[in-house]
Amino acid sequence: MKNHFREKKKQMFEEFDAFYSGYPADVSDILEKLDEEDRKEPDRTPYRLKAMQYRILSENCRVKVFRHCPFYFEIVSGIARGRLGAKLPLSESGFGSWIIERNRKINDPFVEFFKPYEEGYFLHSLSKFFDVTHIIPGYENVFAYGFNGLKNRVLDKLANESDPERLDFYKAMIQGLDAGMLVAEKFAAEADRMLKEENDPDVIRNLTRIRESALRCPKEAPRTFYEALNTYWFLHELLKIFDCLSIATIGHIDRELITYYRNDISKGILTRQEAEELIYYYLLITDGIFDYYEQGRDHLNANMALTIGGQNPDGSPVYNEITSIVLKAMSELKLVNPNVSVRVGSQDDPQYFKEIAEMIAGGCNNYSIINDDTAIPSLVRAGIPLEDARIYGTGGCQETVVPNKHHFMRAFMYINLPILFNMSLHGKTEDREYLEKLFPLAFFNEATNYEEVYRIFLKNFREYCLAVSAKFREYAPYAKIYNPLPLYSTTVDDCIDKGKDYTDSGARFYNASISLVGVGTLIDMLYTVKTEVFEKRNFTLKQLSDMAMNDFEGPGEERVRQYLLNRVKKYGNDEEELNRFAAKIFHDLAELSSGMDDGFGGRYVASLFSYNWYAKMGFHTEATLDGRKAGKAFSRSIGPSEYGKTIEISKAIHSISRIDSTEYPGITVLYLDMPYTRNRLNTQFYVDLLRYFMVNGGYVLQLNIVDRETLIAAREEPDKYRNLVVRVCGFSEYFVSLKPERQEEMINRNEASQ
Amino acid sequence: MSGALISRIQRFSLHDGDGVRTTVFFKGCPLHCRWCHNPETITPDRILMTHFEKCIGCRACLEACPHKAIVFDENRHFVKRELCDSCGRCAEVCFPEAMTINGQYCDVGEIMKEIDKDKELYALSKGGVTLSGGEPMLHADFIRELGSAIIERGYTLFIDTAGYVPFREFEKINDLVDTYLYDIKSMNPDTHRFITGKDNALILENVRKLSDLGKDIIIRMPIMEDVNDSDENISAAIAFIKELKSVRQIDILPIHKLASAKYRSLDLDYSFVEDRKETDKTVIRKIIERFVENGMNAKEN
Ligand code: SF4
Ligand code: SF4
Repeated sequence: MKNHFREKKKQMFEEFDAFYSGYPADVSDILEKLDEEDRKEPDRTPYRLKAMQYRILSENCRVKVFRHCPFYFEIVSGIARGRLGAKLPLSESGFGSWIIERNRKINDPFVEFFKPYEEGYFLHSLSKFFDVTHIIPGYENVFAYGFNGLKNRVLDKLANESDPERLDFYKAMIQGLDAGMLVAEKFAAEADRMLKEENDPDVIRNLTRIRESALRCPKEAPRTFYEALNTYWFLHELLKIFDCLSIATIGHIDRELITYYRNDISKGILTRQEAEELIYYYLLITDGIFDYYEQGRDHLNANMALTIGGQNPDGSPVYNEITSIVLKAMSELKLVNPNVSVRVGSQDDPQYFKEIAEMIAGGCNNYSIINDDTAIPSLVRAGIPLEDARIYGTGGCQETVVPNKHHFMRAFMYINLPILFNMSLHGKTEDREYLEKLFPLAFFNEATNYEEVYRIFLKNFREYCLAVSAKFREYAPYAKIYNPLPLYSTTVDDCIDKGKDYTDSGARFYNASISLVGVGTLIDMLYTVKTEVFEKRNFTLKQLSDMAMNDFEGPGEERVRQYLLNRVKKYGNDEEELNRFAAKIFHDLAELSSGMDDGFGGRYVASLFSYNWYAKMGFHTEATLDGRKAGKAFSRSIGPSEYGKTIEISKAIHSISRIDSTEYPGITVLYLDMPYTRNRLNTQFYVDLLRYFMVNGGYVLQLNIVDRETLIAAREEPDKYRNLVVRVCGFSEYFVSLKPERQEEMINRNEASQ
Repeated sequence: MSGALISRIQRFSLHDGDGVRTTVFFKGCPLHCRWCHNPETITPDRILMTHFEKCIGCRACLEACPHKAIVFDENRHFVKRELCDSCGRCAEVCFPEAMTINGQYCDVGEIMKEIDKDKELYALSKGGVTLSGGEPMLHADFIRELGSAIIERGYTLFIDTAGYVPFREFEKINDLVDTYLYDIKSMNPDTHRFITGKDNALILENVRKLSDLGKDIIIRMPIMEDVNDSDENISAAIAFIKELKSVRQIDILPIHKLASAKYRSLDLDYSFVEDRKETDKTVIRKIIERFVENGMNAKEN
C-alpha cells in the first residue's frame, strides 16, 4: 500500500500546495454583500441574521474540487491556510466569521475581563465563552436522514409552531440546510465543468464519482462507504464555515462506517484495497491542507481528532476491519495529523492490543490511547447515561465528548495552580489587587500547621473556580445571540424537538470544566511545606517564601534550593506515602472544581487537561517551593514534575495507582517520553505497557518515542529531519517547525527521562 | 533478617530476561572485565562516586570529610582516593548530589517492597525479577532467602551470572531459579584471562553442570571487535553450547561506550573501551547468523 500510494499522495499534496499558497482568498465582495444586507435590515433577530448569512454565503461562495483528491469539501471562504476558523481577525478566518465580527461587542468585554489575568499567566481562556472546538456534530444523524430528512423534521415542527423565536429558529434551520444542499450542487457543477476539459482517465473517474455523489449527498442519506466518508469532510467544512465553528473532530470512523463498508464489500462495489486507499486519503487531508512546515509556529489550531475502537451503545466492542486499516495506515503514513484517539478497554480483543502496539512500535507519534475502563465510568459520573457514555468520541486533542447530543465545554479555561499557591503564600501587592477583584484571597501567614495551609489553599481554589464559572455563567445567555448555530443544531439530538439551539440548552447533555495546570508541581510544594516547615521545622514559611521570591539567588540560597529539590521527597517517585498524599490532593481538587452550574443546565466536572499551558505558564511563573527556578515548565496533567530529575516509566505509571481518574471526566493524561531506540523493543512490550497503564487506572496515555540524540541532531540540521513527528502535548508536530524554546524544552524533558 | 549490599534496584528492565523485570544489582565481583559497564558494582564495599559537574561550590563536603580526602581549590576539585574510605559524610551534605555513595545495605523486606510495586506488570508481561551485579552468586546464602520470597509471590527468578564461583553456591539456590542468564566471554583461556583477569575453566564447567541438571539457560556473549569476535572463538562457542542440553537462547551483546561517565565518577580508567570502536552491527549480525546456521536460537540484545 505504502509504495503504491506514495505517488498519489505526492500528486494530491502538490495540488493542495499550489492551491492553498494563494490563501487567504479575497472574499471582500461577499463580505460587502453581508454588510449591505445587514444595513438594509439592522434589527434582524439573531436567528434571522444567521439565516441571512447562510443565504448570502451559499449563493455567492465558490468551491474548489481537486483533481487528485477523491473527496469534495473545499469552500473558498477567505480563511488563511492552517486555521481552524471561528476566530478573529476576519482577514484570517474568512466570511464565516463575519457574524462574530459583527457581534464582537458581546464577546469583547468577556475577553477584556480576563485579559489582565491572562497577562499575568494566572489563567488562560480561549477568549470564548462558548466552546465551538471540542464538539462532535451529529454525523450519524446526517447519515441516517440526509439534509432532506432533517428538513422534513423541521418542517413538521414549523407547521405547528407559533412562538416567534422558535419560528425564526426553525426557519434558520431550513435556510441552513438549503444552503448546504446548494453548496453540494456547486461541487457537482464544478466537477461537471472540469470533466469537460479533462483527459486523464484516473481523474475522469474521480471527478465523475464526485459529481454523482455531490448531486445526492448530503441531500440524501449516504448509501455507500465512499459517500459516508466524504460526508464527514463535507459536513466538517460546511459547519466550520457556515456556522463559524472550529470543530476539531472528524468522526468515529470504525463505529460509524462499518455497516457501509460491509454492505459495499458484500455487494461487490468495494474491495478492501479500495477502502484502504480511501481511508489513506481521508487521513492525509489534514496533513495536506495545513502547512505544518511553516517554521516557528505551533500549529495548535490545526488539530483534528479521529476516534477509533471503543464500544457500541450495547457495550459490544467496535474493533473491526476499519480499525485495523486505520492503525496500519497510521504507522505507514507518519502523519502529524489527524490526532487519532485509540479507545481501548481491558476486555478488548488481544489482537486489537497487538495492532495498537505495532502502530506504536512503528514509530507513529500522533495518537493518544484512551482507557475505556476509566473513560466510560468517568462520563457516567458526569451524568451521561451508560449507553451514551459508551460511544464517546474525542475532540481536539483527546477531550472526551458524546457525539450527537453533548456539549462539553473544555480546554477553554486553564488555571495556574502553582501561581495560586504562591499568591496565597506571599501575595505580591500589584497582582493581589486584581486577583482580589475576582475572589477574596486568603493568605497562609497565620497558619500554624500544615492542615491550615492546605485548607486556606483549597478555599482560595474553590473561590477561584466559583468566580471563573460565575463569569462564564453570566455570559451563557449571550451564546445564542452572539453566534447561534441553527444549521449545526439540525444534526444534534433534541434541538429540533425542543425548538432550541445548541447554544441555548437544546442538546441533551451539557458539561463544562476548568483545566488545572501544574498539579504535580503543586503537590511537591505542599509536601515541602508539610515536612520542611511543620514537621522538621527546618524553615519557616516566611523564609521559604522570601527565598522563592528571590529565585533562590541570595547567599547560600542555592544550597537550600538543591536541598529542596533533592532531599525532599517528590511525587512520581512511587513512594506509598506520597502516592497517598497526592491522591488526596487530586481528589480534593476534583471535588472543588466540580458541581458549579454551567448556565446551560449542566454542571462543571473536573479536568486535568493541561495542553501546552504547563510550559507556557511555567515559563512565566516565579520560583516554587519544590526547588524549581523561575521560568521553568510545570508538571504535565496527572504526571509528576520533570524538573531536574529522572522520570522512570514504571514509577510514573505506578504513582498514579492511588488516584481515581474517574473523578476527572475532563480527563487526566499521563505523558511519557520513551527514550528507547525503537528497534530494540518488540511490540509485546507496548502491549504490556498499555495493560499496565490500565491496571493502574490511567485515563489517557501519550507516548513520545524519540531519542534525545535525534532531537538534538534535528535541531542542528532541520533539513535532514523534516519528517520527524513529535508529540508536543495534546497535539503532534514536525519537530523542525517548533519554536526554539519548545524544542529546547522537549530536549530537556527527554533528557530527564533517560 | 540478613542483608546484602545492593548497588541499585532497576525497575522496568527490558533487557534482562523475559518480559518486564525488576533487576537487583548486587555488589562485588570476582572477575574484573575491562569493559565492565557497571564498574561501581565490582567492589564488594560502598564506594564514593563524584559528579562534579553538578557541584555548586558550597564547600560543605570539605568540612564533612574526616580524612581530608577532598581537594577543592581554584583549579581543582577531586578526591584523593588513597585517603578516602567511602564513609559517605560528604555525600550526606552534598545536596546537589555531586558526591554520592553507591551501595546500600538492604534486607529482604526492603528489597521485596520495591519489587512488589510492579507485581501487576510481571503478571501481564510474564516478567519477574533478575538478580544481577556484580556477581550475585557471591551472595547465594542471601539469595536463598530473597529468592524464596520472590518465588512465594509467584514471580519468576532469573540470575544473571558470570559463573566464577564454586558449584556448591549454585546448589544452594538451584531449586529457586527459573532461568540463568549465563555469560561466556571467551572460549579461549588466554583471551578470557586478558578480558576478565581469570581463567574460564570453572565457568564452563559450571554451566555444563547446570545444563546437566536441566536448568533453563540463556547464554550471553558480549562481543568486542578484535578481542573475542574471532571465527575460532565463535566456532568453539558453537561447539560447546551445542553440547549443552538446556540452552534455549543465545544473546549476543555488542560492547558500547556508555559507561564513560561512571568511570569518571569513580576515577577509573576506561581507555580500554574508549580507545576502541563500538562493536559494529554487521559483526553482531554475522555472529548471530553463524549460530542460526547451526540450528541455534541467537539474538542481539
Ligand atoms: S558539598 Fe557538593 S556541591 Fe558542595 S562543594 Fe562539595 S561537591 Fe560541591
Ligand atoms: S567518602 Fe568520606 S572519606 Fe571519602 S571523601 Fe567523602 S567524606 Fe571523605
